[in-house]
Amino acid sequence: MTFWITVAGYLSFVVLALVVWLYSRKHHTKIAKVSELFDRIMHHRATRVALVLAWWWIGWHFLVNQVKR
Amino acid sequence: MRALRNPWFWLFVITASFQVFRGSLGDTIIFGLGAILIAVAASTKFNENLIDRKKVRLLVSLPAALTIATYLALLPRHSLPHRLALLAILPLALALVWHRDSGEKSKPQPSMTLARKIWAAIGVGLCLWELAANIFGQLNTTLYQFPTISVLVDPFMDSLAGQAAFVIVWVAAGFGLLRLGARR
Repeated sequence: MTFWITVAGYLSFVVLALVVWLYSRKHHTKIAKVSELFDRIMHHRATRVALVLAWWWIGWHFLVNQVKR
Repeated sequence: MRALRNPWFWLFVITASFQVFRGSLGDTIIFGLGAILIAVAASTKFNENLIDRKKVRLLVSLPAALTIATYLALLPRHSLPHRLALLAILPLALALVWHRDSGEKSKPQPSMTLARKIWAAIGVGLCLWELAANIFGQLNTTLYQFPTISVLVDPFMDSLAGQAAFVIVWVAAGFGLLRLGARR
């Protein structure tokens, strides 16, 4: 039971993200598009470094680390 | 100190602390060193351009990305070639984003402020859900009653197709993040 509740939680975030992404593509005057948002948040060096590190770690975690399961 | 006012610095410090709780020494080191690097990036030190992204031609970056994707997709996971490739990618990616900020930011449009709030809420919400699953899983000592994203995704990567799909998405995300395909 707790397994499915946990999975449903993840899926609801994925669905919400998809809905926001699709909505922003069509109505970008109300919610800025993801590409516009990235252009803006990548302005500061610390943000750029943090996002690159987070992206790199995801690759490291799944491709190099042994995930406990 | 400017780093202390930077939310990314604290996010990495908190994540490094959490890795101690998880008992993962490697990840503690990665996030700890990451926090130090972000502190330096948030300061005015080493404020110079390393690699000018705008001079990296698509004719070079695209074949390089495809080569990396093929290499990472076909070789077995958790192997030395993967470790070496990932260790080589990190300094290159960091060098591509290590450049001076282009002046002050303009005042955001309301659509931008709203987008930032919504995506931050989704991101923080997902992280908190994953954190809760991890804590409950550790207290429960089973990984399957409260699965983390890693526990759910990792089995799919045991097949070549799953590994290739992950690599394609990961390399494409990095390519986009580094703005290598952006119009000049």
